[in-house]
Amino acid sequence: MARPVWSGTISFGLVAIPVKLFHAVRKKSVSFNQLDERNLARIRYRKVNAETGEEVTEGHIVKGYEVAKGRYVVVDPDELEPFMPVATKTIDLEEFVDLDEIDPVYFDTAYHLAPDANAKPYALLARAMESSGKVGIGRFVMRNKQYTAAIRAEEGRMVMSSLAYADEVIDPADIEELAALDEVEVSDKEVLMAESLVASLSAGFEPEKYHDEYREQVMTLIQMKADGEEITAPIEESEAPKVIDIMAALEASVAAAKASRSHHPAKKAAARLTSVPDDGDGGATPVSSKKVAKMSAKKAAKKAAAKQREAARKPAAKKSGAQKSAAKKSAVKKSSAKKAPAKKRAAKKKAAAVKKSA
Amino acid sequence: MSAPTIVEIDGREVRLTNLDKVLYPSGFTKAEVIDYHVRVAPVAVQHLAGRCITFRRFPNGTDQDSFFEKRCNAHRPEWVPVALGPGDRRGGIEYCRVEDTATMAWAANLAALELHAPMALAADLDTPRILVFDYDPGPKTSIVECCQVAIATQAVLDAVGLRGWCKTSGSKGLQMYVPLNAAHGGPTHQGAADFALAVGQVLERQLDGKVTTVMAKVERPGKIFVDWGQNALHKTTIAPYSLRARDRPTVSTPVTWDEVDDCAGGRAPLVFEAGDVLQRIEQHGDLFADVLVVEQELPSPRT
Repeated sequence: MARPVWSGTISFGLVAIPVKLFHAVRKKSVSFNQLDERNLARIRYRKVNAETGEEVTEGHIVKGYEVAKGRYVVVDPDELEPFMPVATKTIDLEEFVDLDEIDPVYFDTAYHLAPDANAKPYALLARAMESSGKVGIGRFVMRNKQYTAAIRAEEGRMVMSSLAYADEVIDPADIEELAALDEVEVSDKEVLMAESLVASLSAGFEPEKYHDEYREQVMTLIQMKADGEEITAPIEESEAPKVIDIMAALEASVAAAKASRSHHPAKKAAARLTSVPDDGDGGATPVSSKKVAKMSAKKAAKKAAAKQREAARKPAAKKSGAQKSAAKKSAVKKSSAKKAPAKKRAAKKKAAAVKKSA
Repeated sequence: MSAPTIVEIDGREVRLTNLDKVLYPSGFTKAEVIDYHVRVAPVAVQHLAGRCITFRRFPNGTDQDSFFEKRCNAHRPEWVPVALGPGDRRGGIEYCRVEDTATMAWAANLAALELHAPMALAADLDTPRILVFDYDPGPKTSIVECCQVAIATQAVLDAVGLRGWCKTSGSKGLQMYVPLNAAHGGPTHQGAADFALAVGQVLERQLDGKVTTVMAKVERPGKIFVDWGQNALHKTTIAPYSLRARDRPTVSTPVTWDEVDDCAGGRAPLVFEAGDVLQRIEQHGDLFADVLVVEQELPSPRT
């Protein structure tokens, strides 16, 4: 059974409603213990003096606040005592607001509120809040810390969320990377496309669809090991790895760019000229396309080395200006004839636009 | 609009965004730029490695505003190395070093289409590893005249036992790289610039009216400007295999002397786009490999 983390009363006006607080979310991460592999004994931490390395007993440990690098102000627990929030055991509702007025970034930890002793006042408040659609904002103290809380009602129950303080919420203006958004220009057409994409993926929110697959797999592994089962095959990789292969990532985009050009007859030349070597694999799987890239890179490097050796064997200075035999140049000529129109266009346009390096 | 794609390249995570963004008026997209960078990296990075690389970025495509980024982006991944290079009055600047495929992909994602490199390595900023002749065609001239002047330049260099290697600028011109790679000593930037100017002045006399070594635009119609000043400490030149920001994804492409001859005779325009360059690498390997290793000495100035 769930155990309450706090009990007290919700108070507003002259009304006091006794309640208990239960966690609404139970975090489920896998936690491991550190062990010595030699005998599987637990690893224990010792508190040691950072300068002498000697162990420090509890009585010698005080609290210090680092006011500047290496400079500490020591604070005695007695000195903090006067500031400790008084554990009043009440949640004082100060005002009621609309739920959508609260930016979701403020929501912190969620709790279920349950009636304690007498359920009727609780049920009345819950129903009143639900019918008015309002959220109660109040303050309470739990474990020596003061919290702001929002209590909302749904299906006759009350749910409370602790809220972040306004000065704890990070101003988006402090995030440099967000400034780039100011320079983004999008056309109506692009927005329309994005909207239709969003619409096509729109669905009701079904939290059950999402699992912490890592934790489930780790727990399966642990269960199997605990049961003495031999683990031979690695756990299957998650379906959408964050890090993907460069060629796989580019393949689709490059193909799309080429395809879009080949649909425009005027731009066909570009598609031809920019075609990259392909080994005919089709590149359906990321693994094979990675191999292709690696292989062609290696091949190129090998060829480069071979050329270098060949050049080294050749007599040093080349007689410049001497005309070569026409036969040798047929290949070059062919390619030049093909590219002549492209070059002319390029030369005509922005002839003076690109200045040499600064 | 699309979510970033995180890819792994040689164990490094690279964040790719807006893959379908068109960066060239011809329709060439960012995905294709990244694809080119990744594929060309095996040969391109050795020409960039150890150098202070200046990015020229075109975030909204080649027909929109661009900016030179010398100071390596503050939001770079921690695995992008930097090197201190020539700076402004306040001191040196930390430039990006581009030494692996992941960094090439990262640069492409920044729409750093043009990668500009200095002639010296970061480890020894005062000693150029290469002397460069940058042939800039004036109005009413083209790469054809650039190739003619390059051939004439090699004839002059023959007299002092130097070899040069040519690459297209990827734009309109041509560049000849004369590797120096001195094991120790080696000329200063000033020495290299002086030598390039001297050769340029010889060409001015030899090819009367076709060449100028004077920067002024008014001097240039009908002439090839031999830009010897590119040998200065703070100057950078478009790196071999770098894309250029034109209508189409043209590349600064190393070429053979046969191709330079053909170009000089009007038989080959020497325009290569990203896909062509990858095919050329398959066929020829790295035509600029020697530029990194051949050691040559400039003749000492006569006293």
